[in-house]
Amino acid sequence: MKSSAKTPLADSGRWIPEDKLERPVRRLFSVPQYDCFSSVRVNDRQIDAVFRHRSTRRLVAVEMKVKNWRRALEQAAVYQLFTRSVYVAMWHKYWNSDRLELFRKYGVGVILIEPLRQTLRARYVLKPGRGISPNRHYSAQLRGTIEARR
Amino acid sequence: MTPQSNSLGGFTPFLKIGGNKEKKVFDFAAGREAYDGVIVSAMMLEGFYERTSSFLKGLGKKYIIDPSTYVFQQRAEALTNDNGTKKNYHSMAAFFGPPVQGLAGVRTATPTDFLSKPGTLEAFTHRVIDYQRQRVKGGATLFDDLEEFMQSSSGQMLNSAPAILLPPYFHFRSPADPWYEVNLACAKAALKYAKPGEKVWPVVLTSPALLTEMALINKVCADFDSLGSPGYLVWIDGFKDEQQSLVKLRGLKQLIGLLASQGKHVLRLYGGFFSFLLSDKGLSGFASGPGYGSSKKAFAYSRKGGPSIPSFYVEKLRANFQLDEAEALLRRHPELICGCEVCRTTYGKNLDRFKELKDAGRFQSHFLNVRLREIAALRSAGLPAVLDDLRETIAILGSVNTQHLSTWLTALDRAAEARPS
Repeated sequence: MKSSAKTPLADSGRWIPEDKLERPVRRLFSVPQYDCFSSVRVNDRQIDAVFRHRSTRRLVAVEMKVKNWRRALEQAAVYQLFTRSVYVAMWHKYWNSDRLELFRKYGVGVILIEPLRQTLRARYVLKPGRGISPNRHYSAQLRGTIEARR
Repeated sequence: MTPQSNSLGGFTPFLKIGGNKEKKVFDFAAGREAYDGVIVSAMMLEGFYERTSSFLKGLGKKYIIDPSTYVFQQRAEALTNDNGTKKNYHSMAAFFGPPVQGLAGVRTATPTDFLSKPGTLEAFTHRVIDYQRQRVKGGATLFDDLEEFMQSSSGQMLNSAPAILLPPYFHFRSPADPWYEVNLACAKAALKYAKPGEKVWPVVLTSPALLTEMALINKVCADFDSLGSPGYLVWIDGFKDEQQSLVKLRGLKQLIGLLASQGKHVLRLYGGFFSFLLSDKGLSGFASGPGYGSSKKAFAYSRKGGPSIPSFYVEKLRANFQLDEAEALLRRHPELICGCEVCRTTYGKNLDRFKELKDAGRFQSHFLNVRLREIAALRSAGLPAVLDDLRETIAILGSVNTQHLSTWLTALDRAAEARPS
């Protein structure tokens, strides 16, 4: 996630930086249930956010992009080597429901960020489905990285 | 024009040597056919002189020494480490003499350094050309016996002189950049200094932004054309074919086409598969590293240096991907799994072992195997068949990971052509 990347908030003329997407996504994965890890570096790659369920230990990776849905999907598809549950979180203005089928085909979930009064909120549009099978070495690497950050 | 021959008169793939460890990749039997010659930078040559010059002599291929004079344009710290000026830059500056001698690692060179005093630029140019003529030819070799062996066993004389000599060159942003004038003056001096039979090809090193301005492209081509050189090298700084906009790809096509007019040769000094597609627009050849190095930023040096990140060339997508990205692609589309010997023996169908390609230069050997197939396909089936193959890949994989292929076809005005039934 590049903090310098900005795109206009079409309704207001303001600009939204990409890193503003993280907070509403964190709220969506309510803190009592999940531990959150930002900017996780693993295997020469940086995953924008990883959430770990406190009881099941299941890992969820999230790629955040304001605008470039195609690049987001390409990156999310790589994260599937690390964990089965992968989402793309995007600014709602750049989402088009015509893309839903493609994301479903890839097994990548979709979260949209949109304004709600004075704040931003995230909502699920598509839950992750069946993607590629993870590489067990990469899965272990991600889990090890997460454990080391505790 | 479909590439027909593996010589400087036809379409010529070159490889750029990027590091010592990859040299063995260049010499494995099948891979040798994947390139016609090698390009080695003066940085590499001076950093590892004995090994590199012996390697060039033993390889038995054409070679070009890239004098890399642009390095003196960057800030002084880029040429230093904790012990002062790095050995290779110090050595280059010593060979090239004034005005870069004494500047390396002290301050950035400026156009004024070359233009203010009459004769400075000419003398500098002569030394840079002499360096290329003599540095490998005249240097000591560790393997004189190997040289004799190769001459006797293959009947092939080793090329001890560079195939092409490059004038000193510098990065320029536009024809208004003061470095542009220095470039042209160096090229002019080098062409005048050439001996009969020597090929001196000026280098156009510029920013991708120039490719968006038709008037600037025309100006550059007209100025370089007026030099009367038989050929050129073109290096668009940091230009990754698979990440470029349509406008810039069209600009590159225009630049190549204009420079190549009247039968002149144009080599790209870094390029990806899009270079093959430019072969019918006048491009004579291109250079890339084995497995990576299809683009290079002129001023992207770190103080410590470091190994390049291994990447895998996905044949159908005509692009390099980081190993994990490639693995994800292959898991999703098993039809992309490569059948080359390296891939068969490294991972076969067990993609959990895919990342072992990073060891022992395997991803580079894989690249040469694929490049060989690409060259064979171009020569046997021709460009239309290759373009059909790109269209087929887009049709099978959809829009994800294939955007660059669609952009290439559009840039070449070949997107709308119907595939033969």
